[in-house]
Amino acid sequence: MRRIVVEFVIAHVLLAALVGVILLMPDARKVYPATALLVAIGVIELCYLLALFRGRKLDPFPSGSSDIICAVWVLMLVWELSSTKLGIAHSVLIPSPENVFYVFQRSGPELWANVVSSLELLLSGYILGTALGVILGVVVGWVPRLRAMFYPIANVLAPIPSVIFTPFLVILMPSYRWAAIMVILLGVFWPQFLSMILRVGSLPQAITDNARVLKVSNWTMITKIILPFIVPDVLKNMRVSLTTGFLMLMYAESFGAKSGIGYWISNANVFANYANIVAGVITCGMTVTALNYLTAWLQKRFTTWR
Amino acid sequence: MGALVLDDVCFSYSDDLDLFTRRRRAAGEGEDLVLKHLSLTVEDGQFLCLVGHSGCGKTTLLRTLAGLQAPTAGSIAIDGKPLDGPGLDRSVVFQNYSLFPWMTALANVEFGVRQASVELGRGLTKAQVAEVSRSYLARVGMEKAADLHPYQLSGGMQQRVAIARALAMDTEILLFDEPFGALDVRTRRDLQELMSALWVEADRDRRKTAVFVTHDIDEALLLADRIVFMSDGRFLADIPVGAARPRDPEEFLRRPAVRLIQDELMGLFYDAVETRRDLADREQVFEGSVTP
Repeated sequence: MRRIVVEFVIAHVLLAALVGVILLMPDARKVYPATALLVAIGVIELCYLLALFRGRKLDPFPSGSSDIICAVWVLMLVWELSSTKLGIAHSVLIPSPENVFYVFQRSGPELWANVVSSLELLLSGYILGTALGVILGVVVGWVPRLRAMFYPIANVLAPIPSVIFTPFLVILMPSYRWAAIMVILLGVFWPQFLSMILRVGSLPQAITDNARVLKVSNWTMITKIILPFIVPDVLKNMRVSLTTGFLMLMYAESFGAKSGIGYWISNANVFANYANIVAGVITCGMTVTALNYLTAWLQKRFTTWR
Repeated sequence: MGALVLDDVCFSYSDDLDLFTRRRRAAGEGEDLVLKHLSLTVEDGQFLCLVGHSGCGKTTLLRTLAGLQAPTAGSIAIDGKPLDGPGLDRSVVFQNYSLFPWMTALANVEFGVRQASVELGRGLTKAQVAEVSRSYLARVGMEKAADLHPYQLSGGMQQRVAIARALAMDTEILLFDEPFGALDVRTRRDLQELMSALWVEADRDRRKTAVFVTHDIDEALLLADRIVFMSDGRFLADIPVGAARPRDPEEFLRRPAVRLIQDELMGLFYDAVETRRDLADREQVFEGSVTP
């Protein structure tokens, strides 16, 4: 308890120092107004407080969020001092935090539109890839002959990164968007497919015996036995393959895209607009975190039996 | 109704054999038979315990009765109707994993009741299924655990729920495959008493036919109307236990008549072991001997 209070105090001393530096120290560089930066700091502090008070009940290591927030404040303090206040960092490569967060204020709607465009691509490929992987994986895993045929084939194809197929996909697919969706789809499909083959194959004989003596129909077998049996694995794979999907998205958007957060970053790169790049990276982080929370919630919600 | 007739039942696990062996097996010969020419009639309403050491084929026989595997030769009939795969005229309680882990205790019982209702054309409504299931959970003392998943239940509690499901399905025949085999002595005794009590209750309505596999002699004595001893795929003894229920374990197992059956069964157990050892010895001698 005492340790938590000490950490809480340290975190707020650092916060006060950061805000003090931003507001009171004279600038060495010409920067945009600090309003957006201060709002961002407020939002981070709010998240910290929420995590802390929720963590008091649930998290066995409540000091985790305090340690993280201290690291964040120290990092921002160093960043602010070295760029805006003292001007010792490279003025192009290390943009001032004021300018980075000003991007959200100035181009908020534009960034949001890019996030939406990215999510469309990501979710299309991710959901299609997951669905195909699950359906085909269950069928192939359930029929011994198909399993004997496709499992070795899948083992050869699965480790090949889907980006390798990009040149073919760009030619074969009707549009750039479909090529991008396919790259994401393939990245998500193989792990899910392989895992489903193994999972369905590992349905304990005791359970199939039990279902057989109850004379379940094929439909009941699928909906009441196999489906609940594979759901925990499907959700676990979905959490893992979210990262793969996002990687593929960033890759897909850096070639030939006209929108999306990956495009935003690579476009800013062309113009050496490092404030936009950092803002894009922060947006990526927030998007991934939101999706992670969503899949974690799904996993918790639908895995009730083990 | 629920009479079970086995006629010259044989079973072998090896299925990729040449034609000759297969023909020989069809005639019920061959070294690899797990069940060897078993004939038996279980009368309607009889509680039969199959006793034998592990590996004697009693579980194989029960799985065959459940319809999970077809006999290699011979036939099984229920009320004169030849047995053809699993069916809802029978319900089965296995040693482990009798419940689906993703369903709550209540949902597990309901699932069985619904399957039986659909298959036997009983046409129970959803509310009736729930009511029947709850009442049977209450009979085995598990009404409070209705909404718990199997992983939240102890082994004994899981078997209680499995028994509730088997009874709630209201089938003619109940098959038990060492249902208490994995439980500790205390829990085992509790469940034996529960089974006994349920059978006394059943006396009032209409009794079911039961085939109960166990290697525990006392368990068989407490539960059975009839004990069949199995060894090496054959029936060695068929002993009636004509005593009223309920049978108080402390008192019942001390009765002289019961002690006699106990001794007989113990003798059979040791004989069976002796025979196996003899065979092993003889083989050793045979292998060791040098032909002149």
